[in-house]
Amino acid sequence: MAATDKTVQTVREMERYKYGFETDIEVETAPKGLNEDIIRFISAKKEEPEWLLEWRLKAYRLWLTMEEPKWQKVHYPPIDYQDAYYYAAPKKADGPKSLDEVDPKLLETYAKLGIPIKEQEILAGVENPNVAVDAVFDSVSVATTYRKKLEEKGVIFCAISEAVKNHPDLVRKYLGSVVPPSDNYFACLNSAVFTDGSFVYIPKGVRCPMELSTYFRINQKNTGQFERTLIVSDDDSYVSYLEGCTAPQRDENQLHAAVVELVALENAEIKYSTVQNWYPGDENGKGGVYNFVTKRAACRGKKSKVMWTQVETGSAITWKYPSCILQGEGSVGEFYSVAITNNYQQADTGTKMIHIGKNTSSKIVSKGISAGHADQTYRGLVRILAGAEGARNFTQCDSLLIGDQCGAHTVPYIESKNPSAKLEHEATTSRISDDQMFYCQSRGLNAEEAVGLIVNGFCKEVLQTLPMEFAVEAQKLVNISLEGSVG
Amino acid sequence: MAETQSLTTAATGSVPAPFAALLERAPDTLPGGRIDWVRKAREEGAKLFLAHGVPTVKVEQWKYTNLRALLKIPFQVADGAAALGLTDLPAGDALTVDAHVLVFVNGRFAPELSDLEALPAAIRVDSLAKLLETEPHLVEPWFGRLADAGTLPFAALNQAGLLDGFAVRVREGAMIERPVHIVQVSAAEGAPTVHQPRNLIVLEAGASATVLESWIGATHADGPQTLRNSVTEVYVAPRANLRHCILQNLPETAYSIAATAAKVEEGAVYDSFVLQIGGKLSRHDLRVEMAGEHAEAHLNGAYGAMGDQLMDTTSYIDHAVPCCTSNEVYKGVLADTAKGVFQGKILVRRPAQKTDGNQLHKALLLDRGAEVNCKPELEIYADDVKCSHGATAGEMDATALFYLRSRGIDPQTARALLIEGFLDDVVDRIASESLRQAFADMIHVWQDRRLAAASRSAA
Repeated sequence: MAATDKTVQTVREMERYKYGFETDIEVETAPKGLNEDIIRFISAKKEEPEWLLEWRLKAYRLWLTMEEPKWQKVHYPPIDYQDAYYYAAPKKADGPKSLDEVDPKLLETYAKLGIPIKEQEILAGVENPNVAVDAVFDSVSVATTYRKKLEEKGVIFCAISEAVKNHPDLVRKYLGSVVPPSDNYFACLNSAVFTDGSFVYIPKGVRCPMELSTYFRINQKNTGQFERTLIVSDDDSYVSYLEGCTAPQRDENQLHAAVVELVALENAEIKYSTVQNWYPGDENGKGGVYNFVTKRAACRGKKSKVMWTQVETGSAITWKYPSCILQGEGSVGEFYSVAITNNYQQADTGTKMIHIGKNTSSKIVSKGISAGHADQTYRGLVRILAGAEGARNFTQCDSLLIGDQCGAHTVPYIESKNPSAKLEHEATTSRISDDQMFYCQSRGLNAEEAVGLIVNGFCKEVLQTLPMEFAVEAQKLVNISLEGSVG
Repeated sequence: MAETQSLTTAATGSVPAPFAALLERAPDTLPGGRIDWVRKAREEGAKLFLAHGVPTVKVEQWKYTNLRALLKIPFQVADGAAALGLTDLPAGDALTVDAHVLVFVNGRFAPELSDLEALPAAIRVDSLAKLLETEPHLVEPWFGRLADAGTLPFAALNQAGLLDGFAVRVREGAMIERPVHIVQVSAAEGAPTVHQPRNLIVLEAGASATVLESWIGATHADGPQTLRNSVTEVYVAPRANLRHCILQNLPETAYSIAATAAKVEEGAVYDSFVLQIGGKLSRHDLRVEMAGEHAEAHLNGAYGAMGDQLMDTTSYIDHAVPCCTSNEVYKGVLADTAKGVFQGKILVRRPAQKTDGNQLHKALLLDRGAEVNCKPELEIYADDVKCSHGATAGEMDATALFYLRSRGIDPQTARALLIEGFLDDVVDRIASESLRQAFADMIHVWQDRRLAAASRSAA
């Protein structure tokens, strides 16, 4: 009994969200609610060209006719879209010319999060930095580092609003070309109200010299976050992009409906890694972020390759399916996912692999861990169209249940219209066996360490695909997320 | 009131005239029409079907099976064997196996074609229509309880148009060695017809029996279309053991929508095998509820489709209690522009700890234009379980083909051998040797049919 009490105590202490602090900065906010005027306001604030405003308004009008999807296996109270702010930007005169001009409070926040902008560029003054950070603080980019070095290579890495101004042709050409506004309810909403995000363009033949990274952070109370990320990898180029998230603790649910579009042209490769650790709500399922994200990649060129890796440990509700449209001959799509849900978290996640071109191949490895009262669903689609001669797919989804109050579900859709395509799907559901626990504990590990070790082993195949910087963080995250699930 | 009305008008829009006609028949003249619960069940079925409408591809469960073509056919309610003057059955279409044979034509019992004499006393096979007149209390405890008209639109339609079907009952502890073979014939003359067999199989505690079904047609290839919309409810009492094999070998003009819903009690075994090789469009909903601890369900099946046939198996295994085992293996071969669908769901409810649930679907695509859609699904709420599913789709192994060719076997035979090998794997799961043989023979029949069609189109 004493042991149980102690565990409960530990759980309480551990469960307090590590990054649950809030920075108080003057915010310029659009009035609450959503209408065409708000969209005009956002567009005007961003000093956007006419075509983009039209694009937004068209999306908004379409959105009004759409219905919120209900098929996903998650439950949440109805969202009042009029009860949120759609624009909140840290107040500033002109854009900061350097980090010196950045509000020190912002830098302080980043320091708490461990984002190494200052540390790397100002304090340490590292000569060959490895990570470039386009930090997003409540929708607006405030600091971009290493732009120079990237510029030398011709790589464009900036806030999307900046790209609209400086590279309108590129943005206009690719924006919405992978995820059109009509795609789904949340992508449509995003198209109407997106405030910021990153834009990356890797020119022909360039291997991006460093890993690009954006730390998203939701800060302003009651603000939905509508990021729009667009990455274009031209012929024979390579880029690795990292996305990581934490959010301050608060009680009201926050809606986050981002759109990520990737375009890989001939022989290009994009590696997109996500560690998502937004506020999951408290132990009783109160609060937390709604993470309704549309992520899709178009492998347009021959032999192009897109690799999605995600570690999803946060958010009260995660609902996303990073997908690949494999159009180019011999293009490759890969999806590696670890999703951990604890307490009352819900996740409905997976991927879509649409094989259009000849000899396209895809690989899906999904590891789901469900603990506490959490519910988790892998939902995936592998579709082979008639022209996808010699297409190949391998799918493996494993679920691990910790405790008898959680759920794990697998809903794969496998559709083949070409006989020469080979498809394999495999799914298992199990729990940590008593033997495994006994073995670890007999070696002196406590129950929690043992679970951490076993779960990390269970996810190893996915975690290995993360870039170094993330892999270490992700392993720790796996342990932290599961704290309190055994005892 | 206003609400009900609007529901009906809105729904009848999606219910085509022939189906609406099915819902309107005067109930008193039908079997059991004077019994309160039968009347209620019919009304309830009609109400639910109107609420459902004919499912479109927008309905998740019917995502891959489009019924549009079906709605254009002006079906009429079918007559029985006597009215059709049917005196003989087409040879070679049904399973060939030593058994007690009973024949139902268009869902109605045809005593003149059946052989009831040698039937042991411990087993009863009746026509449901007769049972509803004489002993309705034998039907009531099961009727509509297992096949949920609330979630199966066509089970609702079947319930609304309840006429006849077979009812098998095996006494407590009885071991019936010789299988009961129920041959169900779909026949139409002149106009397209619809019939809706409603069947019931009850095994009392500790009983053991084998029930075979052959679904065949008596209409030739260019005859009028038939729609067979059947519901079979199966109750396997504690410690009973039912082997239930179905052959769907309907003619190319036939549409088949069937639901088999079984409840398996403590320590009981439900072992099913379904082979589909006929029909233009055939859908089989298989629902099994594991209702008692240590119950077992083995659901195996194979299908071979060619031309523009569509074969759909949608299974739903509900593990409601601890310590049950379910195994499901389905394999399909798709030639020409045929379409195969497999949707399999395993639900493990929170109390169902120690569940062992496995599912596998494999599809072999022979030709360009063939298509397979597969959706295996796990929904699990208990942690101490072992559940898995697997699905594959692909063409014939080129190396295996090459091996056979290098041994001097012509390509046609080689392909046939490999198809046979592919399907044998699941046919082998049938315990009885004679039955295994009977099904293997039917697979040969399908292979010959496929080769004949191929050589026809080549010539």
